[in-house]
Amino acid sequence: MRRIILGCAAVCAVQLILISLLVFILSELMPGDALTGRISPSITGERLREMRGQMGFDRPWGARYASWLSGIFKGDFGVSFSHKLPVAQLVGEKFGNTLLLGAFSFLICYALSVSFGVIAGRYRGSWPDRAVSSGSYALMSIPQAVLGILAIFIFGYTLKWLPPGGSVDSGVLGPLALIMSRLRHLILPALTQLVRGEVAAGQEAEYILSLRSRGVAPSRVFWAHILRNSLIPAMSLSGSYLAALLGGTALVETIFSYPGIGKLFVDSVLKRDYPTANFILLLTAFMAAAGTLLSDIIMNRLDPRIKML
Amino acid sequence: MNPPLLAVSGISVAYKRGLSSKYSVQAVRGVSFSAWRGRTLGLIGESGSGKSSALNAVAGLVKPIAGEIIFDGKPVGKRRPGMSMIFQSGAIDPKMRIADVVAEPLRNHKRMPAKDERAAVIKLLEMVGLPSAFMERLPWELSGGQLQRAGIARALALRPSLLLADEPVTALDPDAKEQILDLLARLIKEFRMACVFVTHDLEAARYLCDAFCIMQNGEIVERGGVYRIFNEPQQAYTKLLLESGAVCAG
Repeated sequence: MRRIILGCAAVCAVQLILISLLVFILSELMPGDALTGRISPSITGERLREMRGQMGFDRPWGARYASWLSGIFKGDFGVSFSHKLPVAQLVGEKFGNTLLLGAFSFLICYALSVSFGVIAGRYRGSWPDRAVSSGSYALMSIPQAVLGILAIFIFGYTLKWLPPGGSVDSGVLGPLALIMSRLRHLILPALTQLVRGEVAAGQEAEYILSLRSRGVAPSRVFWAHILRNSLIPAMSLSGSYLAALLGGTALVETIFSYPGIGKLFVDSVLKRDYPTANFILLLTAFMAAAGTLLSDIIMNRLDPRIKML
Repeated sequence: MNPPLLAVSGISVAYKRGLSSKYSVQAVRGVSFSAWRGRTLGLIGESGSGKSSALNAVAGLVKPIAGEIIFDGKPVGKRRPGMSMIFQSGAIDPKMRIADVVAEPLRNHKRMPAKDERAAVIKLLEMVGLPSAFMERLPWELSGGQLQRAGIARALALRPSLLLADEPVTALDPDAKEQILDLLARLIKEFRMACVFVTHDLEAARYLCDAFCIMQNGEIVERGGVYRIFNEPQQAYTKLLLESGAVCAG
């Protein structure tokens, strides 16, 4: 177990360094910098060079990447060009909101998808299966932006059940944002289909027929054998899904004006605040790597075949 | 002649399709056969002929829509501890250790105190030619033949008088197939079990069975002893089956 975790952690560390390089190169390739469009057109070229020099833009990109990377290792993630605040402080303020949103969405997604998947798989071919399958395919097909706007219109403005967007206070979530967050993600329908497929296939498996032929109680066959084996693939994806939820919030946070890192990322890119944007990208990559590690640990706990490796 | 241990008379098995409440697929139509202790009856036929459905009905895995199944002189109930079934692949839960796999029927039917379980499992594994060191192994660490042996050990745990075998050697290589057939033949004689052996492998059937029922489209089209079926087949379908099975009459 310890060997597996250490091995995965080492791979993750290498991945993150490569991703940091990629992120930095991408920001270099984008047109303009933090000064573009934000200074008077009448400014002299000499003053512009001076300002670029003060911000370190006159140094070669390799030197800037090296100092950015060494700063990261020391816990210094740079200063936001637009907010004039340390990036870590700026992102830290919003990260809690996104984390809460993501974690809540994740729990709801898993609870709903596993329940729907189990029902559909257990009663394969019946009307509950058809209802769940149709619903999940519909959710997969509707673009999340369309779904978000529809939800705002129906629940926020027409029915007035929920506030249409934003958050009450920092860290307190707007209910509609939460609902949409969990609905919008493809995780719900995708996971439902995965669980459904596993449960349905599990019921036909020879070892299940074998248990039934020996008179093992149907409830025990289902809970101890079919369900446990069916959930292993879903659980193994949980880490990756959690990372996707945290990293993929840009659109939903922008639609709902929700103060999380997704919205901060979009704002940072629009203002060419690359230290902030780069840090958020790197944080997302870190969450994805941590999620993958979490998946490996969960698989290790659930599946004895992996524990033996 | 002694009364049969298993007497199946006129059973029909049908399945519903989709949301329909009507039976639309008739898999078995009014089939009757019997099995005696110490003897093996082969249900032979191509895929879709209804042989596995008939066997599943005996095992209680599907409910026949018509007919009667008498086991040991009584109509079968929901629990059938006197019967055990083996399948194509060993039918073992991939996350269970072999010791738990073999002990599972003992626990399920509360046959012995937990302290005696280990010794019973070792004895069952020995019976099928597996060393006790296999107890702690997981299914993926065993070969196909070893998995089938573990499945047979589990089937023997409750000392059944009827063994139902659904294509138990189909997925095995020739060496493993021969060994499993030898093992089954020995165990059937040793424990005086009746066996219903479902297969489309005529070579395996001829090796193990004393009598055959040839099935086509859910019905038994011909029945008889091994010698008679192989040497004097009456039905065109049986002749075709023998030719396609490339089995020489002997």
